[in-house]
Amino acid sequence: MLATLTWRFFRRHPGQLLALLLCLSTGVGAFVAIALVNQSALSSFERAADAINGAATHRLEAQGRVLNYSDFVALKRSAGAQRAAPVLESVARVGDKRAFKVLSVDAFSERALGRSELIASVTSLTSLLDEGALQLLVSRDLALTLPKGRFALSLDGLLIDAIVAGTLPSPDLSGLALADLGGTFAALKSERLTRIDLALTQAQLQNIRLPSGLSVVAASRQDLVLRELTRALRTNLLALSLLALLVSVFLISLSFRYAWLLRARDFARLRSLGLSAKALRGYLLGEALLLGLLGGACGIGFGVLLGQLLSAPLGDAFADLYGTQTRIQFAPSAVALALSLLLAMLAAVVGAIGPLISAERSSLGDQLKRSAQESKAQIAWGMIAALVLFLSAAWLLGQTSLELAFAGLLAAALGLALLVPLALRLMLNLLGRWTFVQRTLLGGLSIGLAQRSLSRLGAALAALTVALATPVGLDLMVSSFRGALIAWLDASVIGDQFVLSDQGIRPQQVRQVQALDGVLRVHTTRHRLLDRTTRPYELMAIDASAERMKTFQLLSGRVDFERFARGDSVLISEAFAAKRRVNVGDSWRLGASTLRIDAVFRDYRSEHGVVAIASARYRELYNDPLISSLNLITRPNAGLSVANYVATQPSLRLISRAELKATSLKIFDRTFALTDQLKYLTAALAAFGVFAALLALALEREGLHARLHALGFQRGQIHALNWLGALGLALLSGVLAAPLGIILAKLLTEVINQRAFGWSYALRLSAMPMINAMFLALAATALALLAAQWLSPNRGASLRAVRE
Amino acid sequence: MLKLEAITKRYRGVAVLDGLQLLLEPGSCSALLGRSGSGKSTLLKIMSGLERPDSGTIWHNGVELSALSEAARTAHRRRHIGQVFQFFELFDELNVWENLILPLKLNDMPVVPHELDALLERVGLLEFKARFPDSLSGGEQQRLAVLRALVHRPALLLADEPTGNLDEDTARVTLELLFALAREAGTTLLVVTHAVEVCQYTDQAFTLSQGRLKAVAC
Repeated sequence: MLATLTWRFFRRHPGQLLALLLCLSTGVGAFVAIALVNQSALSSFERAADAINGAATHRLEAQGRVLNYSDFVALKRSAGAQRAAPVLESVARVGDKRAFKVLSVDAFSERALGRSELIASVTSLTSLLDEGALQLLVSRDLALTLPKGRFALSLDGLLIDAIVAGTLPSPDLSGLALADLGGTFAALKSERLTRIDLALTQAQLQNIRLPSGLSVVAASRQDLVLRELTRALRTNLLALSLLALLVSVFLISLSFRYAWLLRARDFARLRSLGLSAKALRGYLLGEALLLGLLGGACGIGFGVLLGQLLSAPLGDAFADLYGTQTRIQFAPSAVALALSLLLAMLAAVVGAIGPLISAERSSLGDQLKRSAQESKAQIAWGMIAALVLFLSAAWLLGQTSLELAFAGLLAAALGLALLVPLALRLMLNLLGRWTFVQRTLLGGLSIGLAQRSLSRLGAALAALTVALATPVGLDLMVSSFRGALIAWLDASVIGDQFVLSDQGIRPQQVRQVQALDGVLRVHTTRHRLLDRTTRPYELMAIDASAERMKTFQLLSGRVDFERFARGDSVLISEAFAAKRRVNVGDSWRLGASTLRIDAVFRDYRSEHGVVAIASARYRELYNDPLISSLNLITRPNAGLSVANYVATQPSLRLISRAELKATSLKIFDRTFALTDQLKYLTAALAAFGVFAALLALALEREGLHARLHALGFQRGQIHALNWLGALGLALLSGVLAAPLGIILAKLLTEVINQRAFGWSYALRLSAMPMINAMFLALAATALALLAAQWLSPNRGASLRAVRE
Repeated sequence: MLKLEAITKRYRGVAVLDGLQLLLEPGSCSALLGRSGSGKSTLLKIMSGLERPDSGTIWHNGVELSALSEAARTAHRRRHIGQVFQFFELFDELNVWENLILPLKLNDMPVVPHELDALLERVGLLEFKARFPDSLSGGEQQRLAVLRALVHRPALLLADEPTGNLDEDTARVTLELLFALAREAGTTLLVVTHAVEVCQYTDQAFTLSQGRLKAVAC
């Protein structure tokens, strides 16, 4: 009989079922999308790592000199390194398109290492030799963008002919091309290597005899950089999944509250007829599970679509941030889908608990009083919960762990959300005291109705406010970070033009550049990644000139120029200081020397941290004469002579200051592109919440509208009353979103960024994100109100005269 | 028998019921008169077990209702108490027949179609048994509500302003039906009403004033 009641109710009001399923599936969809992207991204990373690294356990790298193919030959001749494969990694570019990586490998050696994907691919290349053009097997994304037929390819700065010979079989790879090592050697007219991959047992590692200047480091998936990447990925996506899950449960809760509110009088009738609370609870729980199953199934479909949309920008963001060659292959497993469905049903039950308690307490006669009673209880409990959340947030944000800081941010956001209904009530009370509003019939009535509807709308408006505050906070954080990055690039990057090389610039080349016409001064920089298998950081060796030292933006300490130039001290970046817990006056060990830390400087180039040392001391310690980049200070119009010189040097690249800045900002913008999409998703979810709440309110006001109409209110006046109330509350939510957004931005910049990257920058306030939030609030509410009016069961009937 | 002893109920410090006493003999028909806000509805809720008094005891058919848990009170209400409301409180999603058999289903009691048909015929609703409540007139809806309240033969029937929403003629027909069915079934009936004319059908009448009951002559 109860099932018949439910079935008939939804058959009479199909719009309500649609609205309920829409809210359920949107909530579930958002969570499922992020969870599935998370799972797909991790498996894609692992598959890509397997495809590239295969059985390699270690890699051989050159220290202070160039690694050549002859080193590989020498290694093969020595005992204990039979399973080795030479690899050359080059940076390639076609025109001004995005750069990609070319991995040149040797098919015969790959066979020894057992990397089947690479063997199959390169074997097909060697059988398709085309004279004069370097043949490339490219990842699927590159296949779409690279020209058909022969094209000019800039490979490590040298312009050569290339041709796409096929596509790499692995769908997980992106921004990667494979070439035969012999072909690349011929094209570059050099037998230089980046590394030699090795498959070694522990015993072989002990016995290996290395050519001089070479060192063995751990490779493959054990590589710390990759581990750091997956950890960062997990943390970021876990935080997003949790946020989506919270929003989903909230939306589901709103949906049930709304659906059961419509039938509250039926529940009260059943209770008065003697249906026990337990029986009603059991029945409603069953209904929640069934609807959870239905909504979950729809939500999974929606989530899969959304997940596909999110995969590409996520892959791009990680490619830019970490230089991975992974395309996120969105292919959720059946197990993941089944688990998502189970989670959806669980979320439906959790979301249904609150509305269930209200529903089972239904009794006739209490129905009209419910709103007022609920709102008082809600305020009291809301304030207690907010206090508990703020205390938890304060404790969590004080911890050093990034994960705990994220949890703290979430707790703070929830705490603030709980205070929103109270703040709205206060604002409405203030507005109500405004004489102008009091004197206007519609104004006074709207304020009164809005105050009374807060118990129904409060939760939805809190969600809307937080959903609006999130983009405000993110926008403020991103724009402040962007501003700080521009200021830092302007102040800390010295030079008009930059000569770069992935293989290293030889001292002779440095002298040749210094001698070029129009070149006034040259500053040198050598980058070296240290401790890459344990806790990597970057050593930056610079020429210790007064002009160069002025580019450091010191946050603490001061530079003793003489001591730095002598090589007795180092400067450390803010991130390094934060992650290693060292500061001015402490010492840092490099090789056999212990150097004093003189100062901490601002730096946004590496989240692992940077240690700056004088070039002379660096060369002494590491016996490395190469330079990574040259910062040139030139006379106007000196560009041509430098460009002419670089064109004759295959390993060198030239970029201007404007290009460097533009590239840095482009990468920055691409990194935060995903944030943009997520913030609109959050706003859309909030709009669904407001829609569900307004739909419930429309039903609650059926009687009121009829009474107003009976008293002589025109239809237009009643519509105006609805619009005034809803848009007024949305506007107040938009206003509240501004301070909330600033608090979130403050926490993001001063806690989350510090924990995640060790970078600090000042929060810069701007009005635009807040104005956007206001418009977004109004637009979301207007759309929600239109939809609610259209789907309302009393549409058309709401203005009937009062019955009986 | 329904017996209320020293029932007190306060809302925000104000005593709505203040040491109230009442005894209803089995099969008796009574009226409870009183102004709006005098506490009549609160008293009905306490009698039906929907609410608990702050103090005092309620006995119904040998069971101390006021000492029972919420679940036990609900079970007692389901089996032994029928209710009729001013606004009928029928289920819009169930048709006449389904509304009628709902108490039987809730109590796991057998549904005997010909007996129920006879009841429906008696109140003039047999031809409407497949129709939904919103297609019935107010009088028809209240007649159905009366049948629903008595269909499982409860010992006590509580009617809250059963004619408050009906015109004079329809109200008279409904009251006659209510009292006739209650007397035939031997059900104790208490009607809460503003209408003094109800007294002509009852054995006794009370007024509720300042939280206490006073017998009045009909």
